[in-house]
Amino acid sequence: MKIGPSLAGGSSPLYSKIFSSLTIFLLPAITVVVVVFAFFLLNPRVRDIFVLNRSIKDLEGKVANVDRKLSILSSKDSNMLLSQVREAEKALPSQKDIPGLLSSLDRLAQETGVSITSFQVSPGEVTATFSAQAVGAESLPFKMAISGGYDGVRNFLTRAVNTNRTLRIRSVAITAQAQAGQASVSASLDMETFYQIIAKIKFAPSDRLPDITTEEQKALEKASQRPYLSEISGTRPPTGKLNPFQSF
Amino acid sequence: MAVDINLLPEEEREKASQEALRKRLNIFSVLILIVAGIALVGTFSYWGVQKRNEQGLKEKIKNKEAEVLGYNQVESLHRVLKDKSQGLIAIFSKQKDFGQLLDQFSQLIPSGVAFGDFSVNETGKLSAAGKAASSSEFSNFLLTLVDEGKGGQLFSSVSIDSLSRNDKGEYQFSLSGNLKGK
Repeated sequence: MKIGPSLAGGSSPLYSKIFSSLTIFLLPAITVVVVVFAFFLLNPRVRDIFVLNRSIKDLEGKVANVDRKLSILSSKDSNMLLSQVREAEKALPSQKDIPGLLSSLDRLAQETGVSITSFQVSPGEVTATFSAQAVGAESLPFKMAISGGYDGVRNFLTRAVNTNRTLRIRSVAITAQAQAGQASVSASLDMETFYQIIAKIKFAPSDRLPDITTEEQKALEKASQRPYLSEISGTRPPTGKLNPFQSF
Repeated sequence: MAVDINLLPEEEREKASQEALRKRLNIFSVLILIVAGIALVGTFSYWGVQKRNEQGLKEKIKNKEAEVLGYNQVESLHRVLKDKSQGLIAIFSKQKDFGQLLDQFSQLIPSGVAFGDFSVNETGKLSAAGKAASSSEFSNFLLTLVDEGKGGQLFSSVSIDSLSRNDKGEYQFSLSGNLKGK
């Protein structure tokens, strides 16, 4: 008994019809498989491309930044920069520089004809140490009293804030004194001087180079134009004593 | 009225329609395959080009950074200068010339008035004590001090803390006020 057509023969019109119908969808089916495969192949690449485009944009920005930095740095004269830093260092030293402060005040008193009757600096370490919290200039407060003629005291007050070493008078109390018929005045001053430790922060070559603004340039020029009073750093008196307790 | 007469047998007609469908599907599939192929080739090529671009930029940055490192000392000095200048600006903005203030204050004082004490604290609070030769001298000084065009430009909230007259007819006074622009 014959149940169906033989495969080899395929002569049955039903099977032939089915086979023929299937062959119609063969290429579309392959296409679907290829498209699905292509989708899975392309999907990560497309994502990569987005990431790459962002990265390229960042890198282009970096190149522009490094180019700009390079052109600025190559146009700078290191000797001139060094001398500017030295001038700025006189105005705003990296250390408390108490000897320099005393020298400046002595010289200022001498030049304005007043005498320093008292001087008191707040207790603290002689050398300054860098702390990450301290940003910008730090203050070294001190109190002093001067006496002399009115003009001398007045000049001292004006010149104190116009010397190269930055000083600030926080408060002033002036009292008139009558000495042997001559009017003199004494002044108690609550003052402060400043220092700014140079932070030893490592910077990457690609880090943005900050611009020195016109205002900052003016501040540097202003500081360098002010008279420099300290003489300590240049000439130091000789040291060495046989008896440290011998009076001077 | 014309009547359509189909002379083809049913089977042939079906074959012809299947063939037409196959053709259409094949053409459509081929088109899709071509598009997919173009997308694949295009995407991979673009990815390759961008990858090379990225590599090129990285190389460029590396070379430029090496060049920048040659200017390390210059950069350090520049940064120090920047920090110092910012510190100086902050200090200059806080500095007050008390000598100049005394000059301005002196312009307000009549010859018959003399001060024994004068102080200004950090918040700009002013205290002054002195004596006046007569009531008119003191009045003159007081009016000048509060005059908007004169003392009013320097001080605000001026008040008399004490005022007394001695047997010589001199007036002893103490004043307080606030320094403007503090």
